[in-house]
Amino acid sequence: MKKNGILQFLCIVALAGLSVGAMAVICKNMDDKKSQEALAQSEVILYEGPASLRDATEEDLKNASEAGRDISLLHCTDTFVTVNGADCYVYDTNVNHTRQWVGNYCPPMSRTPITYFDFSGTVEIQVTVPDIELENVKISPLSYGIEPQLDKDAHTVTFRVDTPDSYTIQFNNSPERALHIFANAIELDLPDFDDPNVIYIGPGEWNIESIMLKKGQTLYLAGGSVVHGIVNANFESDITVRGHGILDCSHLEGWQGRTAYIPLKFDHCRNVAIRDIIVLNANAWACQAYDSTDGVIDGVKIITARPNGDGISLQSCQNYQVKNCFVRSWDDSLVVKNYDVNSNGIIFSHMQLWTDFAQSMEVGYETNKGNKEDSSITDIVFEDITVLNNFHKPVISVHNGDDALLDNIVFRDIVVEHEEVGSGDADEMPYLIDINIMQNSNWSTTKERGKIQNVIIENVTFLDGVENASRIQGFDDEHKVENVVITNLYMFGKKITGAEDGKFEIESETVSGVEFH
Amino acid sequence: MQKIFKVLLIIFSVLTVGLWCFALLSRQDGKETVYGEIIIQETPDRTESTEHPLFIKEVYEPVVPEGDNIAEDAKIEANGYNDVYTPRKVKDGNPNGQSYWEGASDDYPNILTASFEEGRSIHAVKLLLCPLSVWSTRTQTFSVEISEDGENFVEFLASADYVFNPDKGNEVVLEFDDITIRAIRFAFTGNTGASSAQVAELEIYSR
Repeated sequence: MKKNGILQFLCIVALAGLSVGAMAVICKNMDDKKSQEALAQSEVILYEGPASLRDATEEDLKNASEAGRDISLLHCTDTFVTVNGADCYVYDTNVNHTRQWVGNYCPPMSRTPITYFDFSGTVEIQVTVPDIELENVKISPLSYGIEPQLDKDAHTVTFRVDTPDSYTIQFNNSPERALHIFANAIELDLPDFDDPNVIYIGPGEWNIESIMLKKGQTLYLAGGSVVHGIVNANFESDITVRGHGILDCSHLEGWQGRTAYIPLKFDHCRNVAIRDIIVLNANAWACQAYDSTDGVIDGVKIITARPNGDGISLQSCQNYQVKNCFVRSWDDSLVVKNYDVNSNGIIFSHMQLWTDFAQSMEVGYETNKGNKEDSSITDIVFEDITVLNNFHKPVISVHNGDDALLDNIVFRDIVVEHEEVGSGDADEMPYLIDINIMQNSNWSTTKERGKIQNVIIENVTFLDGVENASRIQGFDDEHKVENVVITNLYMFGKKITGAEDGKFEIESETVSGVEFH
Repeated sequence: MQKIFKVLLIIFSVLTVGLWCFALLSRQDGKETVYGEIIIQETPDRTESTEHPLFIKEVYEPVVPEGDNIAEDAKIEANGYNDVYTPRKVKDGNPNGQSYWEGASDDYPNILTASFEEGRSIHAVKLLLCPLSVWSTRTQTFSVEISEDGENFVEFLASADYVFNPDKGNEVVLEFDDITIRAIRFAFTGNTGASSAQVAELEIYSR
């Protein structure tokens, strides 16, 4: 009697378990169904690449300086992408894995594939890499939690995305031949192409020496266009640059310290908006605003490979918003500095950075190159930033190389997925976070030193990498770093609650008011 | 108690069978994936990169005054310069890249002076900026002063606006009757393209 009761009870428990199992399967099926429906309802725009771009050969993929091989933008031939089953054109552009400065301005460069498309809904992306024996892949940003399907025999990686953004796939824990996918939202607010103030550049490969924009003009680079040229404005206002096309400078010789042709250069301008375009192969740095105000840089994708290849450099600018951009750079990825008047009110938000060389988020070094009185850099915010990789110098840095006051500098909601800070010739500055006042023979202009005050580092997480030190150092008793508040800093799985805990080197004579929370 | 167990057993049995039937019927595996609309934007079928018709520049023939450019014989000075843009660069024969003089920022007048060891007869001067389009059209305002002894200057041409247009070679040529000078100087008071004066090349012509 008792035995029967126990048996019946066990049966009920087993059936309950099976019911729960069935519920789980049903939930998964529902999710799959939803996903299938989302795929069925998706809309995708694919852009053919210019037929005139040459197919990349084995020779093109060799690591060599620009003197040693053709650095043209090419059609990629070893990485294939489909979106919802349709072929998506893949470009092959230059990147740089060298981790030390090369005196002759001719470092060896390598190549990597990139592609782009527009979509709404959910899309399925399949990447085929016939030459790579797939062991594992990493799809960044990791925050999306994308779990791809790997087919090692077919050399394919398949996954779905439902959010327009930039996605980077690294194969077998290597930065080489990482695929950058720029998955744009479909443009809904196209400019009026009949408007005489709208300059429309259609699909195809174009040579344009330079496009100098005037007040009120909009430049539109259509998807499928590759423009070999630069886009600049000087003492102008109310300008827009937009579209999903590519601005490429591979036709220009590296600047070698002489002539930098900056693909996006807006000096002494007001109300300039740059949206969405892709910028490749700058002969020096890629995007500059100098002595400019009220600017927006939104959704721009930048990859640089040549010396001094800073990503976005804001010099003496006020009221600038930089958001939703992807920057992979062979020098500082994001920079704020003073070449003339004061910098103020600059926000970088929702950015993805891959720093092959130098710093990821840099304020300085030049903080008063114009030698102005009462120079300052104030109210600078870096927030919601994902650093995919940093292979060289500090990820977060505030460097006061002149006599300016640096006040209210905020780094908030930052995830560093991987860093190898201190690699190559960065061994003199192997700091994850570096706040420093210094006199530097390369960068300092003024004789006097400045100050740094009110730095906030909040919700910053280093996920993976070399467990380096950080530094907070003033110059002397009168030129100090004051009030640095560090809240919710996680390094490699551990919350940092004090200087020692986080390997912070803090110079007590020149620093005051450092707090960890 | 046993009755309750029996009833529960029946309920769970039915529920489990029902749920698994539904789970199996609702499986998506094996179903053909249906994708939404795909639009493919085509590109023109061209075999090489093309000059864009909106940006093709007409060929411009530079103005070359009669005689020889004697600027090479002159000593070039300025009352200031910006960064690496020193005055000597205006006579290096290279108008491109960083090879130009730029006066001290926001510190007008910016004065550029060419002086000779002895009196020279001249009848034209030419000021150039880099002819590339990236040196967009700008207007510089300057006067011209000359000196017969190298020390005392008198106004020769009153202050005026001069347009430097890359479509026109980014050059400004001033021609006049022959004069004999020891020095000539340009006093800049405005530039719509920068915060100070800019000259890439200064050419001084003598017959």
